[in-house]
Amino acid sequence: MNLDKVTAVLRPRSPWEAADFGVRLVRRDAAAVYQVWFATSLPLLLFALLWIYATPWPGFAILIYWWLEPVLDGPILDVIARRLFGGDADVGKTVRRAPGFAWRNRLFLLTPKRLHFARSVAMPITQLEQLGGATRRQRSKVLNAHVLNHGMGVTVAYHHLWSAAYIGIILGFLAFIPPEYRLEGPLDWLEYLYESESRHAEAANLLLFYLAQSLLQPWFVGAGFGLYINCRTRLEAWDIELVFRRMATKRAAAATTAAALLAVGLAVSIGGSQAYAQDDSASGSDPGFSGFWTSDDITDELDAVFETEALNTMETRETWVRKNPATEREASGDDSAFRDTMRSIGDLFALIVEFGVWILAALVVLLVFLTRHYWLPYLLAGSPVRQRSARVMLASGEVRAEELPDDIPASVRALWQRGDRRAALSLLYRASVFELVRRYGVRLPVSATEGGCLAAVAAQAEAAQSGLFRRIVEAWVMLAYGARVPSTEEVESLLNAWPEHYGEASS
Amino acid sequence: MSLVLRSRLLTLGIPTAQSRLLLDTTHDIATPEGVELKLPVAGLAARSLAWLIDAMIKLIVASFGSTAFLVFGGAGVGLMLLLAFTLLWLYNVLFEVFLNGATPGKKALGVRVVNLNGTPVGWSGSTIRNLLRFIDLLPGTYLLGLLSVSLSARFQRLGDLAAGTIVVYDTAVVPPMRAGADKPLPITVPLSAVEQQAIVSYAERAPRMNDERVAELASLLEPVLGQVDSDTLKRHASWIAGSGQ
Repeated sequence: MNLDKVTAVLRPRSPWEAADFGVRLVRRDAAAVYQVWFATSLPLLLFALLWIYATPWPGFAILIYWWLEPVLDGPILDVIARRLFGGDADVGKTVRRAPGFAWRNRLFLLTPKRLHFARSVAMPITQLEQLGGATRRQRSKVLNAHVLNHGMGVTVAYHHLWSAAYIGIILGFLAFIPPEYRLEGPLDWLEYLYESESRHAEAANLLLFYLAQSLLQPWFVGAGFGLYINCRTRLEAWDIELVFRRMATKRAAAATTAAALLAVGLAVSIGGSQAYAQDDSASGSDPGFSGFWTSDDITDELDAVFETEALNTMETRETWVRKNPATEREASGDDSAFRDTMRSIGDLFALIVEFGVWILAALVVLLVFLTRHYWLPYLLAGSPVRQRSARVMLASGEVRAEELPDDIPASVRALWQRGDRRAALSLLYRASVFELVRRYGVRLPVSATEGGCLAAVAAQAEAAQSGLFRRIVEAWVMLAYGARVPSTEEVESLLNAWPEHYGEASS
Repeated sequence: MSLVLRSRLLTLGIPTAQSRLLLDTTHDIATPEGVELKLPVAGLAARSLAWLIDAMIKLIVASFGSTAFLVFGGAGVGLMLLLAFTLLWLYNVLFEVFLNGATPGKKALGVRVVNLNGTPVGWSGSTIRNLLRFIDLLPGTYLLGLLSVSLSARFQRLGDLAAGTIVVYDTAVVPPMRAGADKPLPITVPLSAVEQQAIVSYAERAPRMNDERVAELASLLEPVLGQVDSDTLKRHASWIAGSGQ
């Protein structure tokens, strides 16, 4: 075993996480694991099927198949263990060695240990460590002290999950049987499966057993292996060994480089260490690199920190407390009276709940009535009305309907003639954007700039609107950012064209 | 104490160069501060056993509750239905939202639900994952959930995938190295955080290993620290942990 080539992070994990670790190993090499699984399990399945059809005791087939199950665990364990330690998982080789694994694990096939409560944790000892007899018992004792509980937990979970999968697969099949193939009732196929003496039913049941097992057997082996590996990682500190080994190799590599640079380095290091020595003597209180902090060094500072206000906040809260604790109510001695009381309490409760439901219903009706102006237009129009937003967000701020004057051209004209040209064109620009959004449903990016609006309008509005809008934007941008005032004629022509495209008449 | 904390923070989530390629059981989150959080994701075994415990609790509450409500007569039946509704649809959601992502069963197994970014699960996340429980349950015994957990990278069932949640283990807070165990001995060789942590872990875990193994591990460091036996190494660990007197 070579720890340097390990292909997963080894560290002490909590037991359940360790089981998941093993499951992840299985999942990573799922292709190899399942190739091995089918290569070894299908012959066994075939044998069991032959048993059903060729022998007079078909009922024993599942029992025999189940008893031989540990034979299938060995190869899976081999694949994931090899891959964990950086080996290549050769499917063919593993399958050929399956009988060998079975012989090594014979303890779990030929003895009552077949019913071992944590087989998947115990199997690595016989198969990977190849221990037997007294040494194995001693080893199991050590491992069991740490992982037996969770190994049993894995077995319990495995059997529950297996049952869930088995029943789930049956239910899945039942759900997909068309009605015309139903024999009598919905459960007739189940009856066929379990009650009939037919060999086909036995075979079908074996196949269902096998399907569920295919889902979960690798899981079971992986979870047990994960627990086993985690136990050894803990006991033998594999993770620490890995770091220590790397430290050693790193230092060895550094040493050879250092030897080559020794001549240069010597001079520098002498000068350097002198400088450091001076530094050290300068700061007396700091023990620095050469020493270590003693508790005396930090106690005073810690005390000072603990006395700061942030750690010493106190707060007084006042609450009401009963002077005399409530006396216990006397229990009723008469049983029937007690029952009557409870019954009447129940009736009262039922009455409240019943009225509560009516009150709730009334509230809902009221709510529906009060919100009629939201949903009534939809009903009256018969088709969805266009959403008319009352405000538009621009990079320069929000435009609200109530801020805009009713007659835009007149207001703009008034501002322009008063000489407030910036305000005039700003109003024109904002009103245009607003109308484009409101009337023509142009969708703008949030906080759109002038360029953003222009692009959105060019893409979404008709040519006439976007042409006028382009001229308005140009005029506004020139004034706002270029300080070039457009001529009064230009503004007049914009204002004259405005009502046709954006005014009330156009909608 | 503060220095122990600092050395622990230093070693927290600093990945070695190879660790990214290696298989691990954690879901890693990089915070904006550049700290990498490693959440250990819980798989089928812990989750199914947690479910089993929850199912038993619900069964017991339902049977006791319905017996008790019978004294109310007709209204009792209504209460029984309300109880059934609560257990079926609200039990998981309420526990997950108010008890830090853990139903009693999850608590018993030491797991809890969190969002993918590590934050506690909220109303919407918990509601979505528990509504979709009835899809995971199909065709009656959680077969879909089983398949989904087995196949998804973070052991998520369909509800978890939809809600963006994962089930993680509660990481136990490791008590710091006991103070003053060994007389500190300074190390003059510069060591990375991972290497320092390894030496501290060595001292912490040495009492639970056998003596040959402890000595063998110490001998590995000979090229780095010169001739060290396990006691010297433990004293070095004391110095790194800053807990010496």
